[in-house]
This record gives sequence, C-alpha cells and structure tokens, in this order.
Amino acid sequence: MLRVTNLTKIYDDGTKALDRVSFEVPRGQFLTVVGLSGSGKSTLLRCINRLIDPTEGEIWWNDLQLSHVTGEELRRARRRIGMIFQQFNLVDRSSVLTNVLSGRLGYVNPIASMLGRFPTEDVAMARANLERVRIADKINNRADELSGGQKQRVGIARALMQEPEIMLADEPVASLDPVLAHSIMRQLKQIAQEDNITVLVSLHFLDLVQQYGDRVIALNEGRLVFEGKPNEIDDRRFKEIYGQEAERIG
Amino acid sequence: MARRRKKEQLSPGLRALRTIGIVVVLFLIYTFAVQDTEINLKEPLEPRRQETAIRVLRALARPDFFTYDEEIRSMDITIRMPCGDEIKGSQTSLGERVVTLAPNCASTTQEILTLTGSGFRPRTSGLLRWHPPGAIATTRALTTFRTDADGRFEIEFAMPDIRPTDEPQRIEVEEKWQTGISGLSTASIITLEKITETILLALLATTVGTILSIPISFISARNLMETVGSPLAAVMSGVVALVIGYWGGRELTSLLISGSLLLGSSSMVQLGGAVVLFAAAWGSLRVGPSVISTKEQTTRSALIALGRVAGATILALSGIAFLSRVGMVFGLWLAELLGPFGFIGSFFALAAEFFLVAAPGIVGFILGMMTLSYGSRFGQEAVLRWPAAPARLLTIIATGLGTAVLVWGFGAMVNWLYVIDNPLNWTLYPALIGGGLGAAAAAFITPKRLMPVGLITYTVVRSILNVIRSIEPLVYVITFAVWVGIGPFAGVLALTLHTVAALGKLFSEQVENISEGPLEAITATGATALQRVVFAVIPQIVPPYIAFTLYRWDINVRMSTIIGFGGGGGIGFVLAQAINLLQYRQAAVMMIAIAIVVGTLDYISSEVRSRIL
Repeated sequence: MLRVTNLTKIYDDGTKALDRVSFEVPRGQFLTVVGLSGSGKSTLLRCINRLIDPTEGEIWWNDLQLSHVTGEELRRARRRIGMIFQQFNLVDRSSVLTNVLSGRLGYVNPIASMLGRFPTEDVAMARANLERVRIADKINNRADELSGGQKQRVGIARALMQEPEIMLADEPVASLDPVLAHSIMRQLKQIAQEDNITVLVSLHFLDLVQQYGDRVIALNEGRLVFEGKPNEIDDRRFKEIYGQEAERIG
Repeated sequence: MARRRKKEQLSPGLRALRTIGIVVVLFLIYTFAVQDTEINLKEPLEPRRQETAIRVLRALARPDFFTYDEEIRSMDITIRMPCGDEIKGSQTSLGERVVTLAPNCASTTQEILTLTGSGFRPRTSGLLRWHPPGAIATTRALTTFRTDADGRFEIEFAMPDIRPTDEPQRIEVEEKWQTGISGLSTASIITLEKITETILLALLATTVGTILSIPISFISARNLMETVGSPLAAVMSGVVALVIGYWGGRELTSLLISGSLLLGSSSMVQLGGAVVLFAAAWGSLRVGPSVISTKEQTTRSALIALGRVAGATILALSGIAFLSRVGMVFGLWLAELLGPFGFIGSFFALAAEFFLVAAPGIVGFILGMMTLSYGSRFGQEAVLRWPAAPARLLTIIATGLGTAVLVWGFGAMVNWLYVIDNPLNWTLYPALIGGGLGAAAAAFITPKRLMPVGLITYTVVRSILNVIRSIEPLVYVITFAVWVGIGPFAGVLALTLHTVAALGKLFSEQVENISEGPLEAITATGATALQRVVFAVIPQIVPPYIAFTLYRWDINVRMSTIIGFGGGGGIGFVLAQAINLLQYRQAAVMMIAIAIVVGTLDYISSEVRSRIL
C-alpha cells in the first residue's frame, strides 16, 4: 500500500510542480498517471523514490514514512523501488550486463561492486531477467548499440534486479513507435501481475491508459483533477485534463 | 525561470549619443594602450638598431646544425710600413689568382687601402690576415671579403696598427669553403639531449598531475557535490575522526619503519623479514572467508573483514619497510652493475627511499580519509536515528570537539608560519574558547538539519584550483628551484602543480557535462555515492579524460620549453644561455627543435583525440 497525502513540491525558482496531491495505491495495482507535459507527472514519480525531495506532504509506504527517510534508510527503501525512464537512462558505454547488474547496487557489498565483482547468483539473476524481457542475446553488447525498444527492455531488466515492490515508469514508451509501445506496455503489465508489483506509470496517450491501466489519476498544473477507472474518462473529463483546446485522437 | 532585465527603449537621438560615447571611450582606451605599451617608431627606425636586428635575423636564419670539413687556400701580398718616398701599388699572382694592393704601404691607421682580387673561387668567403713582425708569431684579422660569381672581389680596409720595419710585411689572403658535413655541431648534440629531457619532463608532470587531478575533479564537480549534505554532527565527527586517523596512521607507519631496523641492518635478514611479513599478510587475507564478500554484509562481518584487512595492511606495510631498506642497497648495487642502464637501479633506490620518507604522511592521509568517512557516517546515522535529546547532545559534543580541532590546527599554523613561538596562546586557549563557542552555537541548531557540505567543499576546492591555475608554471619554477635546486626536477614539480589545477578544472567540467539520466537511474537503485561515481559517472567521462590528458601533455611540452628560462631545466635552460651569450645560430637550432617537437606532438595528440572521441 502506497499512500500520498497533500504532496506539494515547489521548486527553487518558485514553480509549483505539485499542489496538495493525495491518492492511494493498493499493492499490485497498475496505476496510470496522465496529464500534459509539465503537469507534474515526472515530479510526482520522482518524489516517491526521493530523486526529488517534496516540499510538503507525506508519502507512506506500508509503515515507512517514505517522504522523510534519509541516509542509509533511504537507500534501503530505494532499492525496493524500481524505475524506468523515457530516455531509458542506460550507461551507454557500459555493457548490457553491467547495466542490468547495476540494479543490484543497493544490495551488494559496495567495495566489491566497485571492483567489478558481483555475487554469482546476481549474475545468474541478470541473465534470467534478460531472458524474461527476451533480449538475452545482447548481454555482452554495449548499451549504445541497442535500438530504443531493446534499451527499454534492458531498463526493465535493470529495475527487476531490484526485486521491486513498486515500479515507477516515467513515460516509458514516449520515445518509441506505437507497435513497440504496446509491446513494452504488455511486457510491463505481465511482469507486474506475475511478481505482484505495484506500478505507477505516467503516459501521454489515453488509448494506452485505457488498455493497460487498472486505475488512472490525472494531473493538471500540479493538481489532481481526476481519479478513477480509465473508461470513466469521457469527453468532458478529457477536456478537464487536457484543456479546452484539446482534441481526442487516440 | 530566468528573469532578464527588461530592455529600456531609448529614443533614436539618445541611442546615437550612446553609440558615440562608446566609440569615444574605446578610442581613448586604445590610444592610451598604445602609449602605455610604448609603441613607437623612433627606436625601430634607428640605423644601428636595424643593423643589429638584421644581424641577429641572419644568424637565426643559419642554424648551427653541423660541423663541416673545410678547405683553406691562401696567398700572400706584401705591405710596407711606413710608406717610402714613392707610393705605389703592388701585385702578386699565384696560379690563376691575382691580388692587387693599392697603395702598398701605410703610415697611419687612417689611410684607406684597397685590395682587389681575381681568379678566386666564386662566391666564397675569405679573410685578410696581417702577420705583424716580431719574435712571437701572431696574426691579426684585418677584414673579410666575399667573391662574386666570377671570382672577383674588392675591399677597402685600414691597418689597425702601424709597426714600422725596414722589411715588407706579410698580409695573407685566405679563402675558406666547406666541402661536406663532418658531424653534428655541439649545439645540435646539446639540443638533442635537452629536448629529450624536455619531453620526459613533460611526460612525468602530465602523468603525476593527471593521477592527482582525477579525484580532485570529482569533488570539484558541482552536479555531484551540490546534493551532498550532512547534519552538523556528521561533519564535525568527521573532522575529529580525520585528525585522529591521520595522526594514528602517521605514527603507526613511522613506528613500523623504525621497527624495520630492529633485526639489524643486514640485507639478507631484511629480505627474509620482508618475505615472512608478506606471506603473513597474504595468509591473513586468504585464510577464512573472502574479505571482499560480494554480498551485502552485516555490521559484524564487515567489522571482522575490516580488522583482517587492517592487520594485513600493517603486515604488508612493515614488509615494504623492510623491503625498502634492502631496496636502497640493492638499487645502488644494480645501478653499478647495469652500466648504461644504471638508471633502473637508481630508480629502485629512489623509490625505496621515497617510501621511507613519505609513507607516514601518505598512510596518515589515507587512513584519515577512511576515518573521516566512518566518522561522518556514524554521526549522520546516529543523529538521524536517535531521539531528539541524545542527537542534540551528540551534535553539541561533536561540534565542540570539531571546532576546537579546527581552531587548534589553524592557530598552530599561524604560530609556526609567523614564528610567534607562543603555542599556548595560539593553540590551547583559542581551541578551548572556539570549542566552547561552537558547542554553544550547536545547541541552537536543529540536529537533523543538513549542512551543504558538498557545496562548501566544491566552492573551496574550485577557488583553490583557480588561484593555482592563474599563476604560470614559470613563476612556480622559480620557487621550486629554491627548494630542489635549478634543473629539470624543479620543472617537473612546477608543471605538475599547474597540471593538477588545470586538469582538475577541465575534468570537473566534463563531470558536470555528463548526461544526468544514467546518474538518476543509478541513484534510483539505492546505490551509495561512490557507487554512483563508479557506475554512472566514470563510464561517461573516460573519453574526454583521455582527450584532455593528451591535450595537457601537449601544453606541458610547450611549457617545458620555456620553463628552463626560470631555472627549470630542459631545452629552455640552454636556449636562455645561448641567447644571453648572443649565440643566435645555436639558439636557432634549439628553436627549430622546439618547433618540430611541439608540432609533432600537436599532430599526434589531435590524431589520437579524434580517434577516441
């Protein structure tokens, strides 16, 4: 169970990215977050694993006050929260294996890992996860040799290495073509169901939301403007979320 | 959001006025600059200066590369001093060569004599030499000449001195030309020797400078440092731990080094001791579970591993101390044995001696860094986890101690630097007062509040780098020459210092330019700060680091050519000498060598850079 209450983020330059956002996500739910660019989707996801520190409000993850942990405790919390990104964020000049193994950094002995030594179980786990996302043949390639879809699969494998309870996906398919987008989303959904992972995924397109989301929350200028089932978004609500000018295309 | 000052709307008249004002101000600045830099036409147009400049230019144009085989041919003509009643010319011939001297006598040093010749070797330089009468055979050069394309010449000269005799006196007309290269000139040999020294000097400075600047570049990269924040208690317990660690490491190593003499100074015993100690160190790491477990460790197992590593390190350090004693003897012996490759032996001897001298400081520094890390981690975790009251107490105690240590250190430095010689007033009392004030101030601080340590470190390190970088190596070398003597060693130190500062800044800018995405992704996995650097930063900065290192090596070669002007050895040292002795032809050889080396390295490094990037 993840509970967000009155979450507010004001950046140093005065921009209010999130404005008293509250919602709950039960374990294992596939929650989609929609909204225009700049509506606060990315900020929201990054507040949960504290890549960004919220200004006010609370985030509770089971009994842990995720919004206020620091130091060692924060590291331990982060390692159970996987994250995938729009730009994949792989380390280009490292191999696929190294990229995937880096998902274990929160678990292993720091000194050994920095000398390039990982437990054999972790290497086996990396192989298994690469097979799971069907890209095991690229294990020794450099990450920058992969195509966009392949990179995102590696990104998912890396997140899976964290044995995550929560997975944050920040527009994971926005840089991919529609066919690949569906394939990645299907994979994500399937893995989430198999491993009982809570997923928070931000998306642009409503058709993806309606096809994959268990539930949807919508942000507009940092405020929560809708919360409910994907098919409850009708034309009126659509215009609330995306503005009066918007046309439905998806 | 960037806020830009709103541009004022000026009327066209005012704008024209402003433009005129700017032009006038610029004109004034430039005219003053011309006066201030003493630009004038009087000096350069003065004939004597022009002549000198042309002479230097011509000498530079004829670099003294080689020694030549020469052929000399001479013939004589006679002259009378003083003149008799009848003044006439005289002519002599030898084979095809004919010389005519008119008049053939001189009574004063003012009389102009004319010598013409024909049938000589075309376009050849020659010398007129007078053999003054007297018991001691001496000669005096009168003037030089150069024959034209037909082998003719005509010169005017005056006798430098009048030595009246009854007999005619001999004037020798000598031609001299080069028939072939017989070898390298002394200037060329010195140049080769010194240009090698220059390149090696630059190599050492670049290598050491690069290694030192890498860690510095991380702590002076804003993007890595600005997120680093610690509670006050963590910072202060880190400071205290750093001092304890440094002091402990230094004392321990000194003890180990003096301990290496306990077994006597026999080399065999020393060597045996070293072998036993290394074996013990290796054994303590190998027996039992692996020290570097790849798994996450419990505090207990981490402590045990730490203890074993510490034990092995102590054993290995004293092993190295033993080995260094042997190494000094062995190195000197090897140096004698190897003859021309004796430098290998000298290197071992030097390395061994360096270890014995520098090890306490280095080990102290490393241990200090480790205890700093542990101390601040302890402070951080304690303050964040403990309840408010003990956390506050820890903050107060740590801050008091930390401030006292800092004040003590600063006071001791001032006391030493200005030779105040009053340690009590400058260390103990200020430390007590400072510690007390610090502790009192800490009582009013929220213990969990994060201090921007990262940003402070960044600012301090960057400022120091900027200061060091803004002073040229030529200035440093003068200082270093005082310490280590004039020569290439001073040059190496000066260039190294400047390289650390310059590369530290360039490197850290590369760290700041990395793409943030991977760093964010690695952070999200729960990685520690060091893991983030190793897994997200380093892979991204390898190519630019190599490129900048090459670029710096290039700069260092160029700098090391002039560093000799300040006493730093290398080609600059002999070039400065040649210029001061007005040996422009020799100087020309050196300048050409510099141009070739710098040009070649420039080309190579740009080739390598273009392949890496």
